[in-house]
Amino acid sequence: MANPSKWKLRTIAAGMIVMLGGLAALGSGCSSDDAAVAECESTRQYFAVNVWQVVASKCFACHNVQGIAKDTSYVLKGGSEPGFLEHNLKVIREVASFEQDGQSQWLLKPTLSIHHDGGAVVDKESDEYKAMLGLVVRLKNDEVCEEKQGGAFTGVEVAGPEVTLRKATLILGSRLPSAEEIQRVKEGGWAAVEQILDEVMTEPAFLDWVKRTYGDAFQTDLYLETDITDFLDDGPYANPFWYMGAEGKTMMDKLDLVSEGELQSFVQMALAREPLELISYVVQNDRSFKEIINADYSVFSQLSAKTYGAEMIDEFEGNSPWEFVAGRYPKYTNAQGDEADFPHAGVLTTPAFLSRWPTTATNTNRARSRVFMLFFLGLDILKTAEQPVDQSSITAINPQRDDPNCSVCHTVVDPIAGCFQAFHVFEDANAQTVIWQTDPEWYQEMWPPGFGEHNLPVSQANYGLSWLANLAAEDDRFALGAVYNAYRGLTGREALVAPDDFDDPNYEAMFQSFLNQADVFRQVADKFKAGDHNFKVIVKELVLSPYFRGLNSVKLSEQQLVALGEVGLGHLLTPVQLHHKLKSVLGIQWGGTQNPNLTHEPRDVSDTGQFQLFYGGVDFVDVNNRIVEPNGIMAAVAERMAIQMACTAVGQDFYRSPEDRHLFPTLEIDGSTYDPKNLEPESGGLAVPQAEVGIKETIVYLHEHILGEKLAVGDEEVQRTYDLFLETWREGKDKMAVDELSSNLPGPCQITQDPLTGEDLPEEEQVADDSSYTGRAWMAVLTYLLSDYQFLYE
Amino acid sequence: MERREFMKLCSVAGLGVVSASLTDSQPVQAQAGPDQYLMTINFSGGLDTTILMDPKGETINDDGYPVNDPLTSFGVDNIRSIGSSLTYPDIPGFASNRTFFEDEGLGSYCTILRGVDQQTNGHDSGQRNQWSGRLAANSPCFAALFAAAHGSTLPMAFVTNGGYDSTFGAPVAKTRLGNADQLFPLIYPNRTNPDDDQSGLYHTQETFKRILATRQARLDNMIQTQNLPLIKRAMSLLYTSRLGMEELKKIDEYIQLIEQNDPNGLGQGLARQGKLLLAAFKAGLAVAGTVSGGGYDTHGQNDANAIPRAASQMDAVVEIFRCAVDVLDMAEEVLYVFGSDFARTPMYNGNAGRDHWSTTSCMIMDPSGAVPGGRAIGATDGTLRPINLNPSTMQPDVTGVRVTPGHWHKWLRKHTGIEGSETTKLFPVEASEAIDFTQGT
Repeated sequence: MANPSKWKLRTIAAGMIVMLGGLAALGSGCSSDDAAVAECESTRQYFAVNVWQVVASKCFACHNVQGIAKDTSYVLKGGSEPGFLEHNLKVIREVASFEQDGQSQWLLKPTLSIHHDGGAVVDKESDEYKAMLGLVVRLKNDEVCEEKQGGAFTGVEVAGPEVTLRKATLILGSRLPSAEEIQRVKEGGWAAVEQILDEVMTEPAFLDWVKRTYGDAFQTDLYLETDITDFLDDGPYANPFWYMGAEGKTMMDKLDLVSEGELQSFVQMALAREPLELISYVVQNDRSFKEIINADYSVFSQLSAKTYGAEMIDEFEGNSPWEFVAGRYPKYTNAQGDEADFPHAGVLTTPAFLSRWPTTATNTNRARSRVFMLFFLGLDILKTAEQPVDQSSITAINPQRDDPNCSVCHTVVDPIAGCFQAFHVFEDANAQTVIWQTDPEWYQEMWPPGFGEHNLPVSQANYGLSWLANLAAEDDRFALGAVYNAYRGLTGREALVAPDDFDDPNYEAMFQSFLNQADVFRQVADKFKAGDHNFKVIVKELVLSPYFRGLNSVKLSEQQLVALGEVGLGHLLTPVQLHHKLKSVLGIQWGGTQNPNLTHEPRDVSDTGQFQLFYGGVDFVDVNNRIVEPNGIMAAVAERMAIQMACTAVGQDFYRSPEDRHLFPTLEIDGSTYDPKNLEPESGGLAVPQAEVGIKETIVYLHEHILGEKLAVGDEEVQRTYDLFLETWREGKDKMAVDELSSNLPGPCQITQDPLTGEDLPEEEQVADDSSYTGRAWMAVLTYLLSDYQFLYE
Repeated sequence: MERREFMKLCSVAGLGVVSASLTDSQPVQAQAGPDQYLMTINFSGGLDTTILMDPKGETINDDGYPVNDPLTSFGVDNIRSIGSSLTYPDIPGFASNRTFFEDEGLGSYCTILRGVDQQTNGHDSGQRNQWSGRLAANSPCFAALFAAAHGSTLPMAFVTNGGYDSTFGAPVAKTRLGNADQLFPLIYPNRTNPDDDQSGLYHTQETFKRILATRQARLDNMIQTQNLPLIKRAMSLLYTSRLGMEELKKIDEYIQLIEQNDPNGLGQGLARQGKLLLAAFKAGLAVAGTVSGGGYDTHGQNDANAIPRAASQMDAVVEIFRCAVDVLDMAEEVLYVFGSDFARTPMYNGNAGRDHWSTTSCMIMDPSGAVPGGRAIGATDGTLRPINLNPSTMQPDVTGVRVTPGHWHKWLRKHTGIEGSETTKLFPVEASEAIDFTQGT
């Protein structure tokens, strides 16, 4: 179970300040005195802070996977690779253990005290040598210092239980916490937060968040608009176009679908969403997350089950086109005429994934290899290739293997590409296929198929993906890759990569920023592995970390500004998130049911809302990357949203009976009940104290309900909002008195029809009259709050 | 607009300090604006440069085959010369190159730089090097640096239509313009009917101003009391993005002007991207932007795919230029820079395609004449290998400099007056020699 107190917190007001430890502490060694014990650092931390830069600049050029020293036992991983610190420390631990005359060869070689092909690269009198020596001393002794946790976040104010709950339920559950949940947290603190998070993570909205998170990476929602059914036509699948015949009519009746078009779109959706629904299925059922790549099954709706002729494992419980259950593709017949089970490998063998990331005759699965590492191992191989390459100097006949300019990447990329060989048509101009090639052939000039140190057995060539997936799922980077994806889903940001410009004046602070995050992510990954690879563990741990909960800090030094540069949640809500937040807070969406402005539920990315792309969203057809920082157009979208929603929400809330209102519940003041819509702050030019109290209490409620901001009635922010209300009300009253303004709400803000049924309302039930001008004054307040930073960001 | 107040607030709030590692280390200074606006035109996927900027025809490559197959692309006889040294392929069946370079006379504004060693043949790193002059990750594109230096206080200083458009570390946000018809509700957010200038309002003008002032005062307070750089930056960007929203109205004026006076209206695709960008320039809302066309990763059937795509793209550039000249009276006010991820191999592969090749060409078009046109600087040999350039004579010289995107951007930055910007200085290009590409014939 996660323990948010691990960050050494002290409660203050709404947030908490991380107190213990310090950035400087990471640079010190262990000591027995009390003061130094507080600064004691683990061997890993010592290596990261003091030694990594040394070996990266002195050793890595030769001692890498394609360097001159690639055949030695001292081969390091670069800073762009996930888990490089742990890997490199492990390697150094091994090579440093070899001694000559009682001294580590790892120290003797670079100082040329013994033979070293690379010559002298480290001076014995240098700080670099001392740092290396310090590491050797530590490696020879038992670990005396535990890994520090949280010290790096000294001075950071983090959200307390209630604020954390609100942010988490909004992002993960697309809803506000209920009154009952808030009460539980008030009574139970962090334990209650964790319980409620567990509950939120059983809700459909959380699974939608999971799908959106991986959907942004996979981009398979492209096929919500582009049919891939005919890609299946060459396989053993029953009848990809079954829905066009009589069976389609039967299914329409069974699933209560109204048209053939709707039926076809659900078939298409089931095929497009198969990889994401598989991930959702794994998460929903608390299965090992490794199954997203190594599951020996896939998931099907009743419609896609027919398309594939799937052999079902689970049974459908209802008659919904949204229900997905486990099953397998039908058996294939191989070249020998024997039936063979399809070699499922989680999402990797789904047609949507294989179509979205196709192979070509010359690319030969390398693009698939790249995205496999990116999506599942957290490794962006292109970062490995960022050193200059002189292609014009390449003379090798097979440069991918024989020229270091090329092999630095291809030695990693090609083996994984070879594992995809059963989904590539060998030596065919049109190599792309989603159909299993039961007897594949592969290219001898490429690096042999495999993963890491393992070569794919020839006998397993047609099962390459499941073979690969089983190995990769056990790789430490798989856990980190899952953490990276969850982090992006929660914060909209990518995981940091270690800086590699040692001359940058900010290098140390940038590396510290990276290290802070790497430490947290590694701990989260470790808990994920210990927790049976349950993805929910990752989500919960990240929610409880300073990266999600950071609210503010004490004044920071220039170094700390960089080192803490990734801490805190300054995440502009995506169009879909804003859409859900509006519904949750106001009870209504922006735009009509048929024409929403930010997204179309439940598919979200398809039939994009009018302003979805303007607001930085994606459609996976033309736009694949989100804009995560606001610009003038996005600010204008938010402005329009706030104005229109304030207009609609005030009218609709006043139309509701007081007990059903989202925004303006009735008030008890001095034993009397008041409706906020009737509270006018002044009468005959004189203040009405009770009205002022009521209006301010309503403002306090709105700040908490809309912004999650707990304020006292006397807070200056309440006064600021009250002044806005008061001055707007005065202006309106004055202008109505001279007939400059109507006594009615603006036309679009009036409620003349039942919002649910659309039926015309009798005049006495309509909300149109605003002769008190309180409606428009509240509209001003709501416009103000709905366009506030705290509303647009989480 | 409260730009002066914003400057004051930036100093008060220590905006420069907020983002010391991310943006300029100095508080924002008033900006004079650029002499020219910047439009970068991207060929996404890796353009076969022989079909536009570095024609070879049936020159025989190392493998004994013609670089360009005369049957599917063009021969040496189709290579035409203009100006002092510019050559281009007049591809049979496709009038676009001739229209661009000769009929419309745009070749006289163009300088092609050939033999650029892109130092990579990866798409991401190639795009990054081409458009930032740096191979390293976290490198803002030239247009973003340009916008940061010349327009960081504008509401949409940098408009993107795709391609490499990183704004990393530059205090400007990306803006998409998208469908012009949908802009009206954003230009006139307080109108109940945005399309009608007689429309009623949701809030009175007085109330609307009050809301904005109250909101700004609250955000000022939040920025001043926030210390975490990530959150402070987010608040600051929200603040900046709201500046000048009122000025969005101006873009409407120029969109209508284009729709009424351009024979093709706003047009489609790439032409539309460029014309909306011109409208944003003319409205004073933006100073730089990207225009991007895709489909150039032609591993298969290179000539059949790349040639018509490039033809269409160059037709669109002509349409954009004519709009700038005939409709918006901006003939000399826009600087156009062309580039791609990298180039394609000098030989066809087994699928009549071309694979990735790291020696490429790029081009600048300056109708103001500040950069002389009709020139091709640098060279490749018959098989598209780079030939070094003598920076003094600007002639090919084996003892000269191997030209990289770093050299190109070093000059671009100087030429456009952004080399001294605090943001630009944070991202030095990877080239030691300064080459003046206005020189040479």
